[in-house]
Amino acid sequence: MRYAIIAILIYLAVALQTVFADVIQIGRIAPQIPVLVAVAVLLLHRGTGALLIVAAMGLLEDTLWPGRLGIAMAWYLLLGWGLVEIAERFDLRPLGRRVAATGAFACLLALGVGATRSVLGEATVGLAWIATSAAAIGLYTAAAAVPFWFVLGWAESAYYHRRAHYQI
Amino acid sequence: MNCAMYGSRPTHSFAARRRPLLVGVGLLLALGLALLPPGLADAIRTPMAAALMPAQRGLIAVRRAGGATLSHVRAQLADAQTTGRRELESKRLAEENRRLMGELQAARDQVRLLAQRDRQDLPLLAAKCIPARLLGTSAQDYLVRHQLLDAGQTQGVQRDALVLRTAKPLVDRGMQTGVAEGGVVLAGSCVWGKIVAAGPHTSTVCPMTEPGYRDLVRLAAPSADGRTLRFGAKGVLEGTGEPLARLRMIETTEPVSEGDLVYSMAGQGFVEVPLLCGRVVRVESPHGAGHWDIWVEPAIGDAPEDLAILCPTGPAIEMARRPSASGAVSGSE
Repeated sequence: MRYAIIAILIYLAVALQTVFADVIQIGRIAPQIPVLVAVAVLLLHRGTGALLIVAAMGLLEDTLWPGRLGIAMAWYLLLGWGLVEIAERFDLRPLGRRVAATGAFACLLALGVGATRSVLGEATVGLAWIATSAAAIGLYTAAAAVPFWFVLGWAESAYYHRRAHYQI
Repeated sequence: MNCAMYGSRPTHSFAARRRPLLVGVGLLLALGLALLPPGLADAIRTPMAAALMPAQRGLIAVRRAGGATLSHVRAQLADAQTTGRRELESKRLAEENRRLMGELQAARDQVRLLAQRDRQDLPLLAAKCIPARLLGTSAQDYLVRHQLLDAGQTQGVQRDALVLRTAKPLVDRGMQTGVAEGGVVLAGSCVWGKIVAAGPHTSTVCPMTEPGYRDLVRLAAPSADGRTLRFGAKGVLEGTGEPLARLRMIETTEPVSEGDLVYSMAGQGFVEVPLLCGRVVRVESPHGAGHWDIWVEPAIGDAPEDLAILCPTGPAIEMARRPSASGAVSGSE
């Protein structure tokens, strides 16, 4: 059931990104809606299953854009692994840390994918432009993550309250 | 947040240990995908794109609906802004119009005052109204009994001459009060008759309907709203002894219709108010005749109580006859 809900969320997030990216973008910078879902899965689902899910998301994102497959998948996997490891060592439950983690994930993902494609000759833009746009994407995604994590945190809190009530 | 409430995070030591292996396998898989030939990559890409298509279509429909709603809202806002701007503009223009009307009125007043100040040409003639009362039969009998006649030697009256009573009305004003023959007898601003004989103390009036009455008149048609008059042809109004006076000398080429008003021209030049004689009640055009036969109902029917005799007077002439401040007499009149 949980995986079905996550699959639907991923499907909708990717569809939203493809349809509404030009509406919500500022200049050529748009927030990465799939990244929001991926970080939420990594922080809330936890474990190896989350890594498999974000790897699948990376592959799905690879299929949306022209070029070689597997690049986004590899970066999703690497960054997801790193985030899971950090989440096990540090408390990332406060809203600010979740937002920061989301922004950093989006920034590093854009940087990694852009740099890899640039190195492989699929992108003609320079590394400086890639770094700048990655930072902007990270900031914009972090800003979009604030209401996202606020609502998710409220739902999470309500869920744990109800569970504690039933346990009593 | 309270960590105790949410429970402690499990460490999953076994899962954590196998995570690098999983990541390594995933990276190898990604490398393999990256090395796939374009044909095989497209074989993976196409079904993925097809799977996303329904959600994309739905979201595109939502986007279009949202865009239409947004554009509608924007149009409404723009309309509201435009309406607000127009209302403000209308208020501003109304205010400016009021101000300009005030300025125009002030300018008109100023022009009128200047014209009055600079006006030096007094009218040659002015109207003088002499109030008069109609003398009834008792009053006339009294005058006869006391042998007071409005005639003397200057009128050619001789001793033992016969005195005949006339049927025409008599008023209690005569030449001593400035009444002269031909003076128009008014009731209000309507013509009732004319002075046909003026004695020293009394005068004989010929009403409009009596034989011997003649006056130069002008037709006037009231406008549709009844506020203005459109003056037309001139003619001669005559008394016939009938209840209706007859208007003559108006050519059949002139437009005349029943209900037209008839105004006297007796006061032209010294009376500013038009003097109403009556109203056209019958218009006939005899075969082959060049003039209309017009019958006029007098505005004043029965003999009125209060009358006024209209006489022209000449203030400019009188002023000219008066000695000036330097003692000189100006003018030869």
